Amino acid sequence: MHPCGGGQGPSSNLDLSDDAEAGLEERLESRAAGEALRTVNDESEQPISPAGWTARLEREIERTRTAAEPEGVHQLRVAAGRLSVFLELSGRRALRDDLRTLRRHATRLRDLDVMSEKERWRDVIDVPRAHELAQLLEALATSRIAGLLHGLHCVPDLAPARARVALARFEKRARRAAQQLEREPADDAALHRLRRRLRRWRYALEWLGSKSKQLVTLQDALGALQDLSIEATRARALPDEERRERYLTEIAAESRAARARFDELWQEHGHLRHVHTSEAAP
Amino acid sequence: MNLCLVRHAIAEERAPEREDDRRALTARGRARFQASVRGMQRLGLSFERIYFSPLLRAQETADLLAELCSGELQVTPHLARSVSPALLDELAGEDVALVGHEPHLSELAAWLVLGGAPSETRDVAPFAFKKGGIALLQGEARPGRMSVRAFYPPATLRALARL
Repeated sequence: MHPCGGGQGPSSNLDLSDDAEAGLEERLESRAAGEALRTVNDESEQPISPAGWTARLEREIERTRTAAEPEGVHQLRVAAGRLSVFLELSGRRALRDDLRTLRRHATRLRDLDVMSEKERWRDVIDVPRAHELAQLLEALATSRIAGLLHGLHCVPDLAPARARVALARFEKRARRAAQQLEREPADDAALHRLRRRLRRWRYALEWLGSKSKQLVTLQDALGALQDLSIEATRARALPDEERRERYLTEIAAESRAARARFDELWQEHGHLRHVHTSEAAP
Repeated sequence: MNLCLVRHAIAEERAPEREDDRRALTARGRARFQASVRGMQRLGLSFERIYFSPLLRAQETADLLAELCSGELQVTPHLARSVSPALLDELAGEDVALVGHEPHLSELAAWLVLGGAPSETRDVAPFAFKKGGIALLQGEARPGRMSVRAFYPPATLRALARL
């Protein structure tokens, strides 16, 4: 059983010597704070628990360790991203840097897995993939990951009322990124920023049981552009000049088409002005 | 390396229905530690990295300390255990804070200052961290290679904040 999974864990003997500070006054204040919180929160609402995605992250880490399947790596990234958003909704900073580091390692491998689905990369992807997989496996074996999983098990559930307050920040940031893109439509950094902020807004909505098909569609279109941008970076490093130029030409054409697709969706959704959310199916 | 050892702030009391690892800081603990952080700011303390134990009360203390940190917050299970070389091997940076628990922090401070095996210094530890208290150590983060620059109980840090 995990230390936080129930009962008293191995660390339960810590801090046995409570200070005098932690006396009756503290108990009264703690009770008062709890009562104040209950007046803000609607008790009929179920708290939001990170336990499911924490378990999912553990499973995908294990799957990656044992099988190194592309789907496991992808799901590991997704779980890390969703948990990071949960922590931000909770107003917590701790563990988010650890999740970001884990996600960064997994992303480098995931990028290669996406490329390997395209015929033009199949003969050159094995060596860099093996390198990135080794890096990821090394990261997964560190005590930081053990600490991260332990720490996630300790994170308490989140009151929906509090999450809703925090949700507004995700939306505001996404809309600000949308405005930046409107000001500089050719700026790749603005596209990249918008993609990340849409993803986090979408995850935040989903923690609250809402969905937005428009966000998913826009995120997919931006993801396709990002994949091509990564391919272009790889293509520029190809030693064979003829192959390099051919790939860059192909990728440029595909990028134009992907950008046109995104621009079309962007217009359709009114530059994010017409995004609607709905309750997720149970 | 400049090392700041921080004991977590005041947390919920132990209770049979509450898992020890999931004890959160109390409202009073938060308020007091926030004042302590302002005191640390007065002392000119800042960190490149904060290492913290995975237990909730240490996570929440690290969160409050984060405003003094220019870099990452990094979780380590070694801060929730008896001291070991594995903890020291993880440390990186010149100005570093560690957020942990008693009795491990006292043991760590004694080990870093006195050297020897951790078990030898455990019972002679001259440090008694109050919740939210800190010790400032300087030197190479190896047993017996650090010296104590200062030891601040939380009340002193809060008093500094009021100056």
